[in-house]
Amino acid sequence: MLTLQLPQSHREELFFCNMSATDSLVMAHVIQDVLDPFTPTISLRITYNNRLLLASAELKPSAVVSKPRVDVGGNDMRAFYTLVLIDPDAPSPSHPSLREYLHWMVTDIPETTSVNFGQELVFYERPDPRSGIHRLVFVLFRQLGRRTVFAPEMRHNFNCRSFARQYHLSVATATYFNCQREGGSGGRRFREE
Amino acid sequence: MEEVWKDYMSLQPSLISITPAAAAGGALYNHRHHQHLSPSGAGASHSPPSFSSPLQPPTPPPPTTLSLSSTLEFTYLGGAGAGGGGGSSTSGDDSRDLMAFSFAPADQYQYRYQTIMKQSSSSAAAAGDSRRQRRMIKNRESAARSRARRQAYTNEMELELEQLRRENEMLIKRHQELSVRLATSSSAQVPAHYSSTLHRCRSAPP
Repeated sequence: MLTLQLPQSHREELFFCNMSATDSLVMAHVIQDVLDPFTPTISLRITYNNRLLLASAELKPSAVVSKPRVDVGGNDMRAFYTLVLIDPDAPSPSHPSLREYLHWMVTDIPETTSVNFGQELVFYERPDPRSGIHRLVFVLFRQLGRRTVFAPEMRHNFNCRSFARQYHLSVATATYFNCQREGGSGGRRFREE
Repeated sequence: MEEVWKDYMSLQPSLISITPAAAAGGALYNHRHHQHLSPSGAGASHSPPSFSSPLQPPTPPPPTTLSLSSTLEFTYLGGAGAGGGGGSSTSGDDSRDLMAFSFAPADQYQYRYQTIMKQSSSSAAAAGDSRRQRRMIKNRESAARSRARRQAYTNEMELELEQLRRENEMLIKRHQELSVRLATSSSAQVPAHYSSTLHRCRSAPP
């Protein structure tokens, strides 16, 4: 992994070069189960334990115990964003009766800043999958204005599509990672670590 | 199940005697089974020419050879899937036609056997089957999710690779430009041996 820290602008230039940025989301059926097809309009850097998160990476529950660092890209500080972390495979990918389970919600995040500058409406609950390999999806929504988004009553059976409709949000970008229980042995083998 | 076969065996002689008649009616079975029919071509002096050796009523095969000969005769007679009873009823209709030629008890007998087999399969084996089917479906879905995961990961890796290559290229170019600039600027202004020593700020050469 490249450890050299480049200025944000440099990385963004590269980000807009690839137009197939949502292909991974399509292949993993995140676009279909959780979201409708969209075009990403901004960059999102999610960092767990100093490692930048790439889509479809596999993280252990121990690695995602605390909330990550989240940096929103862009140029215009007057725009506000909402970040959610949801689990569409709760309690189990074969019987997702609690789809989608809301782990985290932060609203009013100003563009170009980080999640620390927003309002944490639903506190970060660490993913703890019991059975199967779960997808954990980060979705960044663009708000129409400040203080226009509110938290749901419950974490389970959240629905991104209806949430977006209810508060007039549009999907700015999304990414996801895979997580299974700490001692699980499913999924890919022979990974470098 | 054993009783069923015992009854069947007791019917053997009568079955054997009917085979030529059945053969006459169901000529299509002849070529398949004719070598096995030769011993059972017995009892009919005017058996059709397809039977090679006529005429001695064979002793009913002992129970130990039940598996081979009896199943074949069973097949010949009924045209249904041999011995197994359960599944194949592709020649079900044919068997009923053949039944017209066969002996009444055998007729009833085979029908009884088939229904018994069907009942046992519908209760125990069918439950097992549906469980197996459900397991198969679950496994198929799990495999599909696994493939989706792998494809998404591979795609992401390829994108990242391209991005890193581009970045690397850019950095190398930048580095070259910078080192060229550094080389040209230093040769124009500061003599080499000055660069490692301390310079006075205000009165330093331009």
